[in-house]
Amino acid sequence: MRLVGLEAVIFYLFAVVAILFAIFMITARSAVHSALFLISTLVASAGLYFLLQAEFVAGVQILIYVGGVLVLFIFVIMLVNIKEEDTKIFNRQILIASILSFFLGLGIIAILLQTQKGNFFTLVSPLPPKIEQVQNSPNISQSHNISQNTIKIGQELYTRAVLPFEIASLVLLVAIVGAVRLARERKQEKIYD
Amino acid sequence: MYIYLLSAPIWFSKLPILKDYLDPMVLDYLVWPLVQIGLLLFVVLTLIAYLTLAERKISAWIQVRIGPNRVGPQGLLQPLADGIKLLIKEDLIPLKADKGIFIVAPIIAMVAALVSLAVIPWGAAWATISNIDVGLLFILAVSSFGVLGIILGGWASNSKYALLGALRSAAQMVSYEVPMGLALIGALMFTKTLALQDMVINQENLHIWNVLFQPLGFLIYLISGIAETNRAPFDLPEAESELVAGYHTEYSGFRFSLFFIAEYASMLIISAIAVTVFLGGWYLPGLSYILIPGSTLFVLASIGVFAFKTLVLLYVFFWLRWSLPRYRYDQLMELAWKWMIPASLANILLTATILVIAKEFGLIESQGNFLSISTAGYIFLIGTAFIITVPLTWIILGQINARSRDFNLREVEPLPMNRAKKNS
Amino acid sequence: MINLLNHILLILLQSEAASSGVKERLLEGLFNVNINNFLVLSSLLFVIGIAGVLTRRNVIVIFMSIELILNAVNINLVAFSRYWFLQSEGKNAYMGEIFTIFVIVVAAAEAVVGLGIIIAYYRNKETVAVDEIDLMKW
Repeated sequence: MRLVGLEAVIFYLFAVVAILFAIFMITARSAVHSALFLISTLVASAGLYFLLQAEFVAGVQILIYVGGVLVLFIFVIMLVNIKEEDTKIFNRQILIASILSFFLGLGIIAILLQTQKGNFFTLVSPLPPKIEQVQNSPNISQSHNISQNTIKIGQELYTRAVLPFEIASLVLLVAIVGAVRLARERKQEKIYD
Repeated sequence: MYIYLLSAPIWFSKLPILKDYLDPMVLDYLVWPLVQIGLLLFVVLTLIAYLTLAERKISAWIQVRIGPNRVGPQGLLQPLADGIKLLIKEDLIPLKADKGIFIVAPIIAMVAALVSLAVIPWGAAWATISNIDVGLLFILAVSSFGVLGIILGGWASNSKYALLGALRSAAQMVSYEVPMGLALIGALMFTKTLALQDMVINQENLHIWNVLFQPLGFLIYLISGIAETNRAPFDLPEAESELVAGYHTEYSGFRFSLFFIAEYASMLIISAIAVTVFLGGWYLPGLSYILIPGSTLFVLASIGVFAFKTLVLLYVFFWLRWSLPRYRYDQLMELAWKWMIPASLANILLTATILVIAKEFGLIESQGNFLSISTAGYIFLIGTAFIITVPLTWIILGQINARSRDFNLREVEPLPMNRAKKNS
Repeated sequence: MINLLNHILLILLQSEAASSGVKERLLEGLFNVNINNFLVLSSLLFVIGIAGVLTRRNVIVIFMSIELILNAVNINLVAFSRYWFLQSEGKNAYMGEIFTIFVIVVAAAEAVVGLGIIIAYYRNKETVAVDEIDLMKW
């Protein structure tokens, strides 16, 4: 796997955006700002998925995270409406926690660099396929120009990964029922019983 | 990256000045997309400006008035005057507002609406900017940013009307996103792809518009699309009789116009997707017999066909706005959760069952990414769609919802505190 | 002038026509992104998420940090999926992406239940700060 030229530039752009906004997210005073920064990070990683030619995952990421989960987060922040601006945002263990996570990061990157010396990452990556100049065939779209990502994922999902797929739907059902049960007030329950 | 872009038409790469100085590859993958984007933005923004005029004219016509007629001949320069007025207005930011988000929110709303333009197939061959593999998913994903712009704008204003409007619109848009996505799945079973240009081509190969196979899906999509763009009769987020102006109460001048453009652009996109998925896109039966497919004239004609269909759907939007009264909020939610979502699920189930039956009897065959349907297959599929899917869903949901409405209207014993209030 | 622009653009687009001078090779070497870059990026995001979980007081922000951690894992999985796609010529290449979809689904379910708990707690105790949530029962 090798990204060169413009793709590499775009990779660095997205990577810097993702890390920068992730740091902003954990240091923002207001929870809504945190949510906004998290959205930026998630969108940047969706862009990275596009670079990796995983279009379906990128679309799902934005659709579910931004359209669903983060809107829910912002909704809940508005509901609980915390006046957080003047209180402290970090807890007592900030010093030890940040030192710990710093060393954790250092360790992970050290291990990454060490494995690079071995054989694992030095496998010869095939070069990206040559781009062919597509001639305009009359009226037919350049269908061969399209990656078949969605079709392949669908086939795998419904053949080899069908059991996890069903279990995932069960998880979602349980989550829906649980959330409805949790969010109901005592008053409402009394009315409906 | 190149797989996301379509190459330029032949006449473009033969333009004298460009050919002499630039490499064909640069021409194809950098210059041509930029030209397309510039052209598209210009056309769409102008179109949106004139849609506001069209809406005022149509509403005037429906209410037997004349409408704007002072600026220019027949009021044709009215959008220009409105635009200049909005631009030179004072740009107010409330003192207690969250400044950063207040500024960013309208931009998010507008960008979310405009990014989707990139993958819509405006016409045959070179009239599309990009034909990505997940075009439809991309549009659904990007338009889910729209709700973010609205909810953040309402929150950042720090005003109760704006906040109420934002909360309402968040609940409404999240609810209606679900049936909108599910309604499209039925059509996907016939087109067998998510790439929008390929969808049109599949319909062209079958010589049919998907709406004949999917009448219920089209109906659900259209209704949820109207609710998704916050248009009347579902314009509760900005219901002026109760919420002043909803989420954009505190916005003025240029920022307000960004929200306004976003609303009209998302209307345009909803219509464009409805046309692409259900109404055959740029495909018009018989067009390929008159003109040579692939020729420049054919592409221009296909753009015309697409534009005509989209404008007809936009007219439906205006027509509904000036004909129907606004829904109550509980009615709106009931429509989404008790009618639209079950109906779209039933549509998926019935369509899949019908397709399996048709396949068992050899009426349809799948060849790679295409379906091939025999004449009996056409009759069977269209007939079952109209005779079984629509009435069956209607009857079952009607039966279930009649009971649930009973349940809601049942006499409830008032709560202790309410009882105390009543007595005092 | 236009020729120079043309040249730079061609290097960026990686065409055959770009001549192979020293400067161009340098540019190419600098902008040569392989799987390691993705792994480093994802580990950085992971650590930032961990730091968020450990240091913040607001439960909602802690939940967001958990989402960030899951997202870091997703980047890893998709990068490996693409890597394996190119290594194995398409055999078993999509399992990473499918796994990513499951992670996203579970993250959504987790967020829904978690936010439900937060709302239920807030209704009773009027706080969402973790160091004030210290009772097992009230």
